This record gives sequence, structure tokens and C-alpha cells, in this order.
Amino acid sequence: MQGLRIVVTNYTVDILTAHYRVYGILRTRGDPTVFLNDETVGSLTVYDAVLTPLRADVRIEPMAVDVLHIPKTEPQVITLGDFKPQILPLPKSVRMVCITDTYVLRGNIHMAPDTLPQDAFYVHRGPFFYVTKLDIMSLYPLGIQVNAHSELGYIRGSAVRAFYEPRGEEAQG
Amino acid sequence: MEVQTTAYPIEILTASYQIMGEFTPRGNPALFLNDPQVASFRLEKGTLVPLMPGARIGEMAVGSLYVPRDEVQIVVIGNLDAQGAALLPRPLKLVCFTDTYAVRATFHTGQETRIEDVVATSGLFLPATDAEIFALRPLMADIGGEAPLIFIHKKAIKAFYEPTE
Repeated sequence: MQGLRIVVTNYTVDILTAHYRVYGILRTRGDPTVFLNDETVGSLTVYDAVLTPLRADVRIEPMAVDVLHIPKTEPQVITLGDFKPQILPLPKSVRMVCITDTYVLRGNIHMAPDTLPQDAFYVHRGPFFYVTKLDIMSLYPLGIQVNAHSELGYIRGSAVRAFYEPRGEEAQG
Repeated sequence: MEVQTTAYPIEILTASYQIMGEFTPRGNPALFLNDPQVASFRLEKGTLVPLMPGARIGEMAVGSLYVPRDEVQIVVIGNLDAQGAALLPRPLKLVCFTDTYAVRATFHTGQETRIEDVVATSGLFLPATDAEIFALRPLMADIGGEAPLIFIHKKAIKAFYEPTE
């Protein structure tokens, strides 16, 4: 009989907080959506990490760190490379623009069929919410340019200060 | 019954201010910092120094100054040694970053605590010894240096790692 095997998968990860950008490798036990929202996971461990301060006037350069820990309360948006979800996202998706204190995030927020868009970040526990076709722009001039697109990502619901459904061209970008 | 109080010189660093004064906690200061009923710290003979470049006010001397607990990033309490801080048994060297400071210090955890769970331990303020503090951006005051014992607000920690050297 085969024993239970914990499947750990490596993903390239780009984590944006209010003050730092972190690139590296995230090792998740099982599907990333479940892992990120696992209550027993208090911080995210990033391997071969590069930590870049975002403030324009910061006196340190990007730092390479073998193993970097980020409290799970810090990321505002996370994107994973080479991620093919094993668990299907919630079926309903609504195009929304979400504003955090540092970023404007436009993407398709996934939610249950009966969830109203205004309740998207509050009905489900999160803290990370699945987003597809995600555009990321910084609200302010930062030390490095943050302007990215990702097919899949996660927004931390509690980082969202306001959100709305864009119309017309704004929805397309 | 009389509550025993001792006055300690204290320095508090927030993202925007350096605050100095005299701090009179009830009982052990390390425990008082983590008392959930304490929402702000009262300092006597307080001095408030704005740190943001371009600040239009300078150093201010204030009689009694209240500092909301969640504003505090780093606390240095004078005349308090590591023994008085009731440190946990396992020393762990870490470099951690707040939005304004980098700190290299020895943290103290339980024997079973994993590094990634250091910020998930109970208590808001983590004691750390042999600390070096470095300001990440130009500030109006010369902040930085070494301190034998500091307390770091764990919610101010944005990222941390174990240095290899």
C-alpha cells in the first residue's frame, strides 16, 4: 500500500506589498489557492528571493535572500508563474477595479454564483481571492516601475480600500 | 495594596517620529507592552521628533505624550536588561524589515517555534537582543545604531530572514 504523499510544487512568485516587491520561488503544499488560504500558514516562505524596496528614496538596493519570510498579512497582490489550477475557481467572475493603498488592480474576481459583486471580499473568508486577467498598476511613483499583467493572481481582500465594476473601455484596458 | 511602578527612559520609533521620554509601566515593562488592555503608551517629559524630510515642525517637548500602541515599530527601554525581559529560550538571529527600518537582532522563541512562525507567536512586541537598527530612507534625525535590547511590534514586520553569516 502506498503511503500518503505530500505534494509540494514550486511556483515562481511575484509578491507586492505596500513597501516591497518580492520575486522568488513559492513552494505550496497542494493547490496554491488552498495553501494561501490555509489558516495554519502564518507567513509565506519565498526561496531564492529578491526583495526590492518600492519607495523611491530608500537607501538599500534590491537584496537577494536564500529564504525570506513574509507575514501573510502583508501581500496586497500575488501572481504565480506557470500556475495551472487543479481546483476550478469559483464559477462566477465579475470584472472589477480594486484600489489598495498602493495599487490599482483590474481583473476578473471569482465568486460563488449567488454572491453579489459588492460582497465578493466579505462572503468568502479568503484572505486571498482568485483573480484572472489581472492588470496591476501603481498608484504613486515608486522606486521601480510596477505595471504588470498576469493571467492568474490573488488579491488580499483586506487590502482593498474601494472597488467598482468598470464600464466600456475601462473594463478592457 | 500598592501597585509597584518604576520609571524607565524610553525611545520609541514609529514610521514618522522618534519619541523619547519617561515611561512608567505597571509591573514588568515587557509584559506591560503586551497587555491587551493598553491601547496607548503614556510618556512623561516627552520629546517628539518628526522624521519625515520636509517636516515643517522641529523637535517638540511635550509634558505628557500618548503614543497609540499600533503606531510603534521599535521600542528601546533604558535600564531594562535581557533578564528583565523574560526571554524565551531559543535565540534566533534574524534580519527584519519594517516600512522604515531594517533590524538585525537575536530574537527569542520557544524551542518548537519554526522561523516562519516567529511573527505568529503571542504578544504584540517581540523582544530582540544585540540589535542593530538601520533607517531605510533618509530621515530628519540620525536614527540607527545598536541596542542591547529592543522590542519590535510584530505587525510592523513586513519581511524577515535568517542571515547566513
